[in-house]
Amino acid sequence: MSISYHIVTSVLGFLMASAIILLIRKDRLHPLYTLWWFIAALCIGLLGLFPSIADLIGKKLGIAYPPIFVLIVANIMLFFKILLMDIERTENKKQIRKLSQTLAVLKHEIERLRKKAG
Amino acid sequence: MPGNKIVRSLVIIPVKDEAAHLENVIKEIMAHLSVAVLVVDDNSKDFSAAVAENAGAKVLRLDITLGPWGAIQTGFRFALSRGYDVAATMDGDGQHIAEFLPGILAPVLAGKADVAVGTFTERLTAGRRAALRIFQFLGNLDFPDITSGMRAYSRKAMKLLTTDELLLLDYPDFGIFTYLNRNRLKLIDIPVKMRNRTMGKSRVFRSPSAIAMYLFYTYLLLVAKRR
Repeated sequence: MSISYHIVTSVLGFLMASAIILLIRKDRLHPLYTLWWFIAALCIGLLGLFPSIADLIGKKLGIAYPPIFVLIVANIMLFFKILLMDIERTENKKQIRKLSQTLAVLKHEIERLRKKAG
Repeated sequence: MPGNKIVRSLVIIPVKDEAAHLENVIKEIMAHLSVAVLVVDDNSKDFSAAVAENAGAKVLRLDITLGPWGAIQTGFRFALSRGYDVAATMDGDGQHIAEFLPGILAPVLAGKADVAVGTFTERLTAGRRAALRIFQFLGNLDFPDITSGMRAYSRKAMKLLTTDELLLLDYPDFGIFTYLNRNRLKLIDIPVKMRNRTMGKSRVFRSPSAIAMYLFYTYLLLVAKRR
């Protein structure tokens, strides 16, 4: 049973890691984000190949049920990821607002100059 | 004659779907003083922009909805780029009375203040007044009618208020005043009179959830920006 479980986690880990690498390769992922996802791909790949790593670390930390450790770490990583995303979205919002404002002023200026040119 | 520069004023009216009242508002302003009127159309779905143009106002058209403050900032950018010395803001729903505009513009034109606010506390409900008082205490402000949209701004104020930092502001009151105070600009309030809203409701206080959002937002802003 544990052998087939090992194969499943390995394949899964490899597929997820490959998907991330592919996206980076095809420029579908902005280079700034690639570091985070590369680390994520690495962790997933490693855990897939050697699921017992979770057990080892979990036991060292005194966690009764080691798989929970993986979930905890994943949750923390996602929490920060989402927070960073919101921070960036806020920056985008500011940029969009500023661009909209200057655009409106420019449109008016163009129209004014067009009328002036006859 | 040396030093005889012509002072140019602009009245900015941020508008979202106010086609019903806009013509009267613009005509009333033009009847009381010779200023340029700028309507900033906040992505209206009705004919507000066309109505404004027909009434003789300049019109800026926003492609996305920014809210009243975003629209006013747009007006500031226009005023700054076209060299206006003072810009006044007024609502497009007919609540503000143009007769009082000169009184608001005067102190800013004379250099006595950077921002003049037309205040009319009688229009505020007791509940609103109480809430505002709490926020004033939090933000270390002392202003009788801080949510009044009838104001005049100097060029200095306009330049300050178009910084990137203020692009995130959703409501044009507490955030602005604390920022102006921090930058040591001179603010004064001028008592005026206003009409009751003949039609429609306030955009900010349109529903209990909108009011709750406003209270939460303002509270968070004041606490976070506390010095």
